[in-house]
Amino acid sequence: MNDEFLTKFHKTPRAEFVDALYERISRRSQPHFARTLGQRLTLRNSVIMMALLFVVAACVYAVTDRGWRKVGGIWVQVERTYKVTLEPPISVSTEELEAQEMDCVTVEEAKEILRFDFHVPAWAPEGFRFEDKICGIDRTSDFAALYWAGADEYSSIQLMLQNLKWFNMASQEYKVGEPTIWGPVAPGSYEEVQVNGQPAVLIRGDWDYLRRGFAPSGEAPQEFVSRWDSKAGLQLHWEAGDVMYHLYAWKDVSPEDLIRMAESVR
Amino acid sequence: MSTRTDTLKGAHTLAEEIDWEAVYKEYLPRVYNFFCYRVSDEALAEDLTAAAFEKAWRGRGRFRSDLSAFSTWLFTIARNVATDHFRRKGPDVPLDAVRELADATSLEEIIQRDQDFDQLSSLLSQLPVRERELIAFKYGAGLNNREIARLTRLSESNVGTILNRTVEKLRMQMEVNHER
Repeated sequence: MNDEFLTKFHKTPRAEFVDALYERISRRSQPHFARTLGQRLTLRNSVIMMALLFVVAACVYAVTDRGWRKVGGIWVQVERTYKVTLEPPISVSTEELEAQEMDCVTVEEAKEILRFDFHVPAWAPEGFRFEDKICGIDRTSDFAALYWAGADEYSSIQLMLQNLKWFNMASQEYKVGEPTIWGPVAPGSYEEVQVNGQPAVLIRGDWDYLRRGFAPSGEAPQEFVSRWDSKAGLQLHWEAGDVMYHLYAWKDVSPEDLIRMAESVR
Repeated sequence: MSTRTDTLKGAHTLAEEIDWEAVYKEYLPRVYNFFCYRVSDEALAEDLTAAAFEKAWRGRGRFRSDLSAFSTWLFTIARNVATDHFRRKGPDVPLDAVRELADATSLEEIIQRDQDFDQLSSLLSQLPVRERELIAFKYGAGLNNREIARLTRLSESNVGTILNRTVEKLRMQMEVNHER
């Protein structure tokens, strides 16, 4: 086949073009971020990355977790700080203290006074004993506080009882008619648990204003921005019928024991 | 070009055991000439060559040496680039060159005016797509009939027959133009 006339027209690509194209392809051969990431995705790096992601997610959650949250059907107000007013201490005379002591009642007497029926936990963690002497009772707001003494004054459990019907009518701050925890809690401090198959909220810690006590004696009340102390005890909140139960353990009580104690209310 | 070469060499180990520097040196002129024969425009041929090599580079991870020879793979990409180009632009027919060719008085004059390729390309532009593609593969890219057969899915003998007929037709037209 006489095809010489076709082969002799071969052209040599321009050197500038050859170099420029090579340059372009070379630049594209630089490791792509995803490829680099893929190569470095070893088990160790994956674990580190997961840990970092967890920390970042926790930070984001802590920053954004504010306002009203519904946890297992119970309303929870979430705040990073809590502004409280510290009052100066009130001097109480011995006579007045004795008078208050005399105001303490037994459980049976409290049931006669309060406008709702309630039950006392049949079980308490080891080392805690129930004092059948309810001093924290408020006939007006239908509130009572039961007390279990521990090894020392800081090791105790308190059960607060509240007639919800009364409470809801008196307070416009909470969601009337819906289960609501008193006061705010900090982001990440609460979780949903079950008490006898019913939703409850377990709270780890409390605001640190409780440690601050009072404003200096003789001075005006002071405003104080309280911060959350995640080690300041455990709280368990649940509601049954028209009664709100709120258990508070300062120390030496595990979440499991607190729930077990709550479940013994029958 | 040592730095650039190192980069390419470093990159090719990630995909396949191909010496991309050697590939570039060997195949760039062949791909470029394939496009010159295919589109009759050197600037456009550069663009299409660049497009073909960039596609090949991006898709180098998909090349499987057990399925096809490298040249078949690369020219399949080049062929697709050309097809895409014509799909967008439509066939290029340099009518001015045809008129110029018609006015030419002899083959020697054509050669002497150093416009041989332009004039040949004007004849190529009048060929059916398949014939022109075979000419580009054969005389531009320097592929043999077997490689062209693989690329075009024609039989090897069919490729040979078509090429013979096309070359003969072109040669006769060149001679006719020369006689004018």
